[in-house]
Amino acid sequence: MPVYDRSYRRWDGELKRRALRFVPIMSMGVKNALGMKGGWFFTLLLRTFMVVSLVPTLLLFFANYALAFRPDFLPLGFLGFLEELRPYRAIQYPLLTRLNILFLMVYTVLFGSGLIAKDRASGALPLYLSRPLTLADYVLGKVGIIGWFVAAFTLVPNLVLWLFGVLADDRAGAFHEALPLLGPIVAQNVTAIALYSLTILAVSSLCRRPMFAGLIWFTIVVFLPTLTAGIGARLGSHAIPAASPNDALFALGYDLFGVGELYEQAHGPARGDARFAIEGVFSFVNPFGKTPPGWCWASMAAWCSLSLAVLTTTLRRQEVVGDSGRR
Amino acid sequence: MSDGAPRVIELAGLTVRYGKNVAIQTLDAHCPAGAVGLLGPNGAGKSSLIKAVLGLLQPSAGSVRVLGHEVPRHALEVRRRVGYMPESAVAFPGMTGFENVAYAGSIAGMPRGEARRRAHEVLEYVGCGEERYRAIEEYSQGMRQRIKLASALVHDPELLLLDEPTNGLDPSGRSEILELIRDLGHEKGIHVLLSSHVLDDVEAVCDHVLVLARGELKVAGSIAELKARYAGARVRLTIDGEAGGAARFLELAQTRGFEALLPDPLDPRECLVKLKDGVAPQALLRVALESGVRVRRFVPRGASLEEVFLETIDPTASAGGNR
Repeated sequence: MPVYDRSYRRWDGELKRRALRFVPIMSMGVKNALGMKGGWFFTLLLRTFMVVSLVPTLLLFFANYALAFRPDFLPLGFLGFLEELRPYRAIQYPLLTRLNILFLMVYTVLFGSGLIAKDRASGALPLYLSRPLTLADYVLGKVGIIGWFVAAFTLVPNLVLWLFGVLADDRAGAFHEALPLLGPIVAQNVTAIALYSLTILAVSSLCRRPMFAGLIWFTIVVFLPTLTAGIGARLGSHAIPAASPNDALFALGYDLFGVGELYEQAHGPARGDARFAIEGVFSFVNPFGKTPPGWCWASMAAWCSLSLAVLTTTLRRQEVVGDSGRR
Repeated sequence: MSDGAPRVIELAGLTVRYGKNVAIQTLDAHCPAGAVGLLGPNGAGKSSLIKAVLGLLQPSAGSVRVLGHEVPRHALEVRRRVGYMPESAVAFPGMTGFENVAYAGSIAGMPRGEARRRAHEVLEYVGCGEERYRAIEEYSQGMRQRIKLASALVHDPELLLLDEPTNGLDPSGRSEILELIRDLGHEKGIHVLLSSHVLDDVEAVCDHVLVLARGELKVAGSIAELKARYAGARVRLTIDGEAGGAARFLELAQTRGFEALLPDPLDPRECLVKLKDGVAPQALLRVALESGVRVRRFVPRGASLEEVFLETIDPTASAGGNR
């Protein structure tokens, strides 16, 4: 029998306060996700995708920077278009969210689908729950992981863009003028964080294989909009598309930032190519402009509550059922 | 178990149900300080009892007190002071062995740096060398068991709950893990509740046992006391001569009030007789003389823990099942 160091020593340190117990779960999850374990090809693919996903944010930053400090960097036609849009610059925030959500869906599936499914498959749940953690700590930690990614692609770029816009504007009342935009920015992006985190965790808690969780989630966010849009068009209802979480989120942005009014203001005076471009930008931000905001909020609340209920019920059952996850 | 000893776990009328199935039925018992074995066949309620102790199960009735705290009311306080090594080969996925142990410390509430330092310490203690930096998915069963033990120990618990810790281990790995558990329970001042259906493991590590069957407590006490109580000295005899001699001997022994049987269907000359209280083994020699048989071999023997276990779980099995 090998001889080991048997110098077991007692530990007399202090355990941290309970309120912070979710932090290690979150930080380890983020670290693991960024570690991108899975072979060189997967790592290369993911890193390339990460770089590509920064493009919309960088483009908007560049446009703001060039418009404020170096107009000579921009082609003349494009500069004219941006100048026309300058009074309606609030559109850039829901536009950035809309662009980044395309990438975010991929990240959510990649990093979120296995968050609970892998714990279930490996039977790690009893390991968590045998520690001084509650289910709420566990869920909060997992929400924190996916919330971190969602925030990194929605809230943070929007806030930085807002700050940059304020700093780059040397007019006297620029700050006060921009201040009301903070509310819609926070509201739309926090809703996105809650929606994406809770829905992916709910489906992840239902499956033992991340792939299935990813497929279910993609069905909800990618295929459901097609279905609801089709039904809405057939029935002539603007409310039905709100049943799809992504469309409800975009319609919320439309309402919060007053995109409808901005469009009327911008579209009216615009002529020629600029008019066409403005129309393109605004319709990209929200193709369902007439969806009633009340329905959108109700839909968001329903998706988040349903996800939370599924998550809690599944985990409570796991907690009682035990190691194998089955009884 | 002596009532004067300090009680680590106290169970009063504990009942645990899964729907209509009763896992534990009105269990009154306590675990004293030191190493206690939790014995029982599959489905006896051992794992349910451990989960109730951790506060993961809401008892249908009764109460559980662990280290002076009521569970599940103060489950979080109890879990701060308890280390749990689950039965199945579980680990936090996607991490190395070292990360698993450090992470277990972090989620228990240890500061990150302390958790990492302590993880190295306990990994040394359980005998993990450089392999601690390998992904947990690449580990052998033996290494996983060590990692699980290290994870349970990292926050320096006062009580270790070990659910089948030697599952799937080869003989040398098993003896090493048992040696560690014995060291923890006897030398390092950590109370141990070892759940197992491997009786040798419990006998090697524990001083006391609780024997459960079908959710009920069958017997509890110190192993030495139980062995003495259930020793009920048995005698194994080999009867010489023709096959009918042993049957004659057994018939007469039974009429004299001895429990006796032929334990080995392939050898009808082998007899096993349980002595009555206060009766010397030599009394059987008189029975042999009276039945006209010659005894070739006469081996008086005490009870092992296995015999105690079988006696309490199924008294008919103990007489014949154990040689």
